[in-house]
Amino acid sequence: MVFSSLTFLLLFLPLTLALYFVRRGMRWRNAVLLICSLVFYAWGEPVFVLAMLFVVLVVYAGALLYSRMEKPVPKKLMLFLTLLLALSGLLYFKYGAFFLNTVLPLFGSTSVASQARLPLGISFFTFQAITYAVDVYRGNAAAQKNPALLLLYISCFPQLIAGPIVQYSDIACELTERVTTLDDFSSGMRRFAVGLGKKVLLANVLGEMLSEMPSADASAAAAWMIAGLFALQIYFDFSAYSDMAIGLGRVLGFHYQENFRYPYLADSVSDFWRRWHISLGSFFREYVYIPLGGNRHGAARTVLNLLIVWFLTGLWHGASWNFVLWGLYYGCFIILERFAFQRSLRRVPRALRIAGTLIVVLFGWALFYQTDLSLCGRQMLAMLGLVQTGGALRFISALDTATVQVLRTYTGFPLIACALSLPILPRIKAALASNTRAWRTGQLFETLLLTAVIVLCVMNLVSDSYNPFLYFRF
Amino acid sequence: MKRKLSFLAILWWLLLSGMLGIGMLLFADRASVASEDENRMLAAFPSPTWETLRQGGYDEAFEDFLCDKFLLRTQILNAVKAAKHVFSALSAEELLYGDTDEEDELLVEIPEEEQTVTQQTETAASTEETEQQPQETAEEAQGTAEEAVAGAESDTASVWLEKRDGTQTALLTYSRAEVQSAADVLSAYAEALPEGGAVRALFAPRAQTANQFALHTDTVDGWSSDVESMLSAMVSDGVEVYSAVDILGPHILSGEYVYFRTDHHWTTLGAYYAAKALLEGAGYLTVPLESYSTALETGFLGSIYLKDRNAKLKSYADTVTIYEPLLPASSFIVSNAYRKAELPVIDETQTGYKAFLGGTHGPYRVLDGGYQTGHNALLICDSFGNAIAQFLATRYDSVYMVDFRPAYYSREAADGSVTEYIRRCGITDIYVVLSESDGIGTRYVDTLMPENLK
Repeated sequence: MVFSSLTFLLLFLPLTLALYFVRRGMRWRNAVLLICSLVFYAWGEPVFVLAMLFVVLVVYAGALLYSRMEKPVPKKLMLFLTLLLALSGLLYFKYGAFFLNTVLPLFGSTSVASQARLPLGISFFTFQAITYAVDVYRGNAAAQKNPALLLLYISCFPQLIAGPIVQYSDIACELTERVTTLDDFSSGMRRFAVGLGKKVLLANVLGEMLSEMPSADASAAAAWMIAGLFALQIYFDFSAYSDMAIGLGRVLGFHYQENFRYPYLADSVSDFWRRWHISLGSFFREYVYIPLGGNRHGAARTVLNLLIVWFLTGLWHGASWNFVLWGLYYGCFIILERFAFQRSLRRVPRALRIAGTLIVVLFGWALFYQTDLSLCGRQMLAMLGLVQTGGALRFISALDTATVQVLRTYTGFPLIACALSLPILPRIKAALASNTRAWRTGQLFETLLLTAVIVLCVMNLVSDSYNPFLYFRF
Repeated sequence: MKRKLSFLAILWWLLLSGMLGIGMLLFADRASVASEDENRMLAAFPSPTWETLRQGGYDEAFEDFLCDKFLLRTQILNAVKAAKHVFSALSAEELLYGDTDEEDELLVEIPEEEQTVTQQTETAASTEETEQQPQETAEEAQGTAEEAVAGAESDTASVWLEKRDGTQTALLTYSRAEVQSAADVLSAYAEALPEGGAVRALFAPRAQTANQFALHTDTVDGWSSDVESMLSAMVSDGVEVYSAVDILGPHILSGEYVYFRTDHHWTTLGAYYAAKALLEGAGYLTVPLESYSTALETGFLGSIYLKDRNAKLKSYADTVTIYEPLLPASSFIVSNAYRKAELPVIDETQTGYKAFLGGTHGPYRVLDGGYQTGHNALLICDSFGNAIAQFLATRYDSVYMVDFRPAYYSREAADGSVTEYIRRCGITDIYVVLSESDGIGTRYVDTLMPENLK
């Protein structure tokens, strides 16, 4: 099941909230939430619920065992075993075929391993299980004796399939004690509505535009348009899901961390990654970079640690070499910013830094979008105004008819999407806050607008029968 | 106060949503019903089976059911499409066939667009994908045209749009290998006929292609084709190839209504001209069109409109002219060479193009026009055959029809190969009338026709 579906909006959400709030007791609410979350996952992936249950069982048992151990070596060994078992599902389903297809040719084999069907959200719930296991190991949280609560933490439907990656220590208390105020309910549902609008009315339309674009090497404009449209699509798609997850979490009494902070206003690559998929960056910092030693062992080791982290970040996004290159691409830029350009960057005006970062990011999205490396190369060349024919490079045409056709079909829409990717509405709200009357009018307008957004979303969903989130690959 | 207002609004939304969802579960029609507007079967309520639950297809089927049976679905679809087209700067004409503006010449390279095959689920009034053909620059077109006229040595054959400024645009292009493959199939069918019989083949452009000519007669001189000459050089003696381009071109130039605007089919007038050429080629005289009584249906919005429901196309609504059969005619579904259920010849319960023979049915159909000639014909066609069949029937006792697309035909249902049907039904002539979607270079001709011959 996905949030942007009639099944969720017309059946699952109203019924779940009705059952959840019909009684005040935490046991009742946790039971309802757990059962509904399992139904939410099983609705689309009935067999793969077992994969999730396996991961939960492994970290539950492992954490209970090593939390009682006092000797560091066996404790560490037990943690390692727990993590290995927890990751085994992810490694098999997501990376098994990729690993075999990379290694086997080295031994002269021509056989091709086929990709196993990937359980939805396996990357997310596996990482959440890892945060629990490590938080317990470090003593940041007590081992959870109630398996149902641990299962609830991992399977909680708002963040189950596409994050944000919620660290156990952040919400451990809220598993047993949480309150939903009127404000929480209203603002949570408003946040959900905003996310739904971003997904259905923006991301999906951008996806349609992308599907109608010609190949990236049709012209320079096509190459840049594809990169730009994809940048907007993936931002709205993913941030929409985060909005909906955070909003629903708030309705249910959970307070999740923000996952996006207007990333296309970043003035450096490092800043971009402090604004984009923040929970993933936090995870890799807390659970990979710092345990590797971080920046505590000299420059060379820091560079190595960063490369490992960014290699894994890329690999996490997909079992394909273009994702690995994409991760390393950002890793290199971050290393350069930290060790080579830190001082000189500060002297560049902010607007130029933002523009430069945006160009780097757009090239990065070209690497991300084209899973075929040769197509990726052609797109990047086209973005530089070049095309390779035969063995020679020549200049590519600036524009092509198909791109013009798409622009004329969706006239103005990309500009609206660009504007909405900036914090214009929050700035307007902040400006209105100083005037009580304007603020009240603004609130009323916001309520009416969000109601209209919901209606439009439902209408759009009626006309589109199936509507997956991009990040379901992960 | 405002917090309560916001809370109340959300509560009402949740309540209404829940009521709508539960209402649909309880009261919506759970059967799969046909939607005339969308020309497809709407989703039924899915039954949970172990297979769908295991493989995860149940959620999609359930979602499809909710979407397809939603309250006021058609109105919502129209509203959504209208809202999307607010952003569109495309003119109605561009929507009809895609832009081929002369300003394209200012752009350096016009990319090749993929050709897609739309056989499996195409019905009489719907097209999910449009085929767009490569366009060449004038110099390349000139070179290719000269080679095609020579015929034998060219690697490609095209249908050309001849513009008044002397340039040419390729509307459709086929490789030599594709034409050869079609020629081999047609020749194989000719071998299956008894002595004296012939295969008469005609591959017709769709309206999206033809209207690039028909709607621009002020800037276009005409169109031409070297496809048929290449094909004719490759087929055996028992095959006659007819050029829809040559047949319909003069009528288009004189402003006759031979193709619909908002639907991909030819009109009955276009079908009549094609039938006339085919029958006259066989040595028959044809019944003049004036002999028929007609009925008109106005306001027809066909497949091109239904694809995007763009309101700009409503002003191009078509008129369907029905020519009533001259003699009492009847039509049947045929299986195992026997007549089964009766079908209407002109289906008054259907609108638009589906009025002809009530749309496409399978595995075989037969149209008995009421004539006694001692000959029977087999019409191998797609939906373009539905409009032409009644004109062919004036020269045959029976016209058997088959559409090999998987939505309408299976070997099991037919219970016999084409060769068997030729023998059992006394077929003396075969007509192959296919649109560009199912013609040369498509799975229909290259795969479906040969595998169903024997």
